[in-house]
Amino acid sequence: MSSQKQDLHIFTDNSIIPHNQVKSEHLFNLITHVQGTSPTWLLNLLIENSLYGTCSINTDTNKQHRSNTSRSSVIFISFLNDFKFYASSLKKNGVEVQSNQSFKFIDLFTNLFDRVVPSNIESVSKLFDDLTQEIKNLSQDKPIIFIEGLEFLLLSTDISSIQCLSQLNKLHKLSSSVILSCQSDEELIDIATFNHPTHPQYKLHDFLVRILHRTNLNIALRPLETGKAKDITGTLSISKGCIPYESLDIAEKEYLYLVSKDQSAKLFFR
Amino acid sequence: MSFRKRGEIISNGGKNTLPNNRIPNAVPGRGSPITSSIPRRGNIPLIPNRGQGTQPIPGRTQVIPNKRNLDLNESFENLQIKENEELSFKFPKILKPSSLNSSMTISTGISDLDKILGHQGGIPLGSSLLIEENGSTDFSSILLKAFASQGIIHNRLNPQQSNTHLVVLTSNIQWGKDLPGVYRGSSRQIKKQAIRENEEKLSIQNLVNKPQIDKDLRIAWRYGLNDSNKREIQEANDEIYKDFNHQFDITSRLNPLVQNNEISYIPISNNFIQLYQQIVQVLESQKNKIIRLIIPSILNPSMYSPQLTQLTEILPFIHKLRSLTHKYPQLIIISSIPLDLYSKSSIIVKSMESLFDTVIQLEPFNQQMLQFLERAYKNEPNKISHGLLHIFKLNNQSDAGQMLITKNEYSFKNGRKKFEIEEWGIPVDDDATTAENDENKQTTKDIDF
Repeated sequence: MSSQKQDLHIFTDNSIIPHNQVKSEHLFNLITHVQGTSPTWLLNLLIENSLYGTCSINTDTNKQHRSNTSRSSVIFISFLNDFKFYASSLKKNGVEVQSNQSFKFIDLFTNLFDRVVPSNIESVSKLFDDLTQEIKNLSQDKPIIFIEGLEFLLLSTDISSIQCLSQLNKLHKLSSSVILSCQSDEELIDIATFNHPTHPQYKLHDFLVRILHRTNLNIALRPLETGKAKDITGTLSISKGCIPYESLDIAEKEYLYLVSKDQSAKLFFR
Repeated sequence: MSFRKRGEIISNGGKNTLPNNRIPNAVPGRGSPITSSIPRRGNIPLIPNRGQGTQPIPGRTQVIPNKRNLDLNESFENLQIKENEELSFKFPKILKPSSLNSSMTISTGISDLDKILGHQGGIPLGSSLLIEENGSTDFSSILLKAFASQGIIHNRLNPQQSNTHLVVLTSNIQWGKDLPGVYRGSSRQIKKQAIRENEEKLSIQNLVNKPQIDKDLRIAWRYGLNDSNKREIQEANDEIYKDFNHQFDITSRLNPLVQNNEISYIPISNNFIQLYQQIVQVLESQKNKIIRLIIPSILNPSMYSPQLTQLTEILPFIHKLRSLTHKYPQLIIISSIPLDLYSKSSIIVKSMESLFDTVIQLEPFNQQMLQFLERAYKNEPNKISHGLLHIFKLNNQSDAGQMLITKNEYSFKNGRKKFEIEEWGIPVDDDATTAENDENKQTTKDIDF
């Protein structure tokens, strides 16, 4: 009896980021994570899949033949890490991004607060204006945009959740799909005690709820409730967003995953 | 199994197994910790516990790179090796390569803390550590001070060339006055040391008395107990990393005291932007040194004005510090935060944690628990721990996606000569169990079978 191979499938046709469909229909994906389940490995995987259509997880060596040409361009915007961090971790998956024309990294980590004054909302909108201009200049066709650590901007500046969303909208329009990763620890979104619109907790909570009403696809990374385990890092759950994705069906499922010491990831069916 | 003729010369079997010039490339992707200042022994070991070469990792697609990529990869790796070689040449003896990645690590001054960080060295250069502490105790300052002392000791290894600079963010310019000195050992150890030194001197008597171990311990040899090769590796390792870390005695003081050219104090102002600029100034002026930036009790209201505790003030500052650790790869930041003032469940602590590379928490035991421990360890008072140590994030590993939150697994104990961290286990209280047994007994007499 043959059993289904344990592998990551986001859509029912066993694809992760469907190439052709993404061209015609916009995909908006939110990845939420908490302390202890950093999404770096998953982002790397999604970058690889967006670029080449392959996936370096649970696969045997030499089974996949990666073409040298990438299928769509990827722009990665990070508020929390620099290019070196992603370049080296992607290299571990065999993805060379140093000289890759299809991969562009926009570093909003290194000199963020030279460009942004926390109390000045104008400076934040200017940052996004520059960003849209940069993206327009970078790629001809609509790229897949990854955004990491946007919640940090929300917490550390006076920008409101609605303003942040409208800025995000600008990027949304330029892209073929947006993959947003966001930290959502309980402490960051606690509105039981902090329920005034100026409270950072309220801001982030509001932002996340509004985003959740606009996504097609949600992925959540959570640690095991029982705490640390040697063979399991946490759970990865895939669920549909509020806006249906019409081209393909999303395979709602929960996986267990393990990121081992050599930073390679493995998925298991639950 | 292979057989050889008696007369056959075994190739490379002798002492010079490895040529001397192989050291720089001993482990691919890593620099060599060994520098010219160390006398070359016949057989300098490879760094232990590491595989050689790049073998394919199972469970991962191996992509055959085209030639152009290969060249690029090589140059990328060479660059890393070069960087590390430069570093270990610039700072001999005080750096250890990490066992997890290609970074170099440096000791925190507490050997048990170094172990917990998981690199088989210490804390990686270009990273940050946050120590959170509950209660009114001040164990975290012991860690900060050991960290500072370690830097000063490293700095004084070579009087001609200083290699470390301390930067302390505090208004208290006396902070450096009470840094702990190096632990010299108990009086018995000091005596033993003197004897050993005497024995090592070359004299006729010592030569005559030299025991011939190899001939007498055949069985030990059989089981590899007397493996001279292994011992040599160990010895050479000890020799290379002799000055990697030291043990500090909190009752003693650094002698001579910290000089003004070894430490910079940056007083806390009402403005983080100004503070940041001052830090950058010091970093620029001390570019060729390892910088240990120490921030004692960050956001403590006795030093920081209330407006600085706003998220829009503190988060940009920490974010800038984080980016500094990337810009200046020789910078290490260590900071402590009192959890009684900023609760663990508050947004300020949580969001700060996401910006630090490593986060640990010290939770001292309450009075009741301490009394219980005192009762349980009545006869072994040196076994009493002082609190629990929780780990929330570890450098490189947490950011890569590993889940490393370990609560209640380690305990710490602060002694005069050492800050110890060990695995935590609740002791059995003998009194409680015997009392319980007494109650359960049905007869007053013990029946002896």
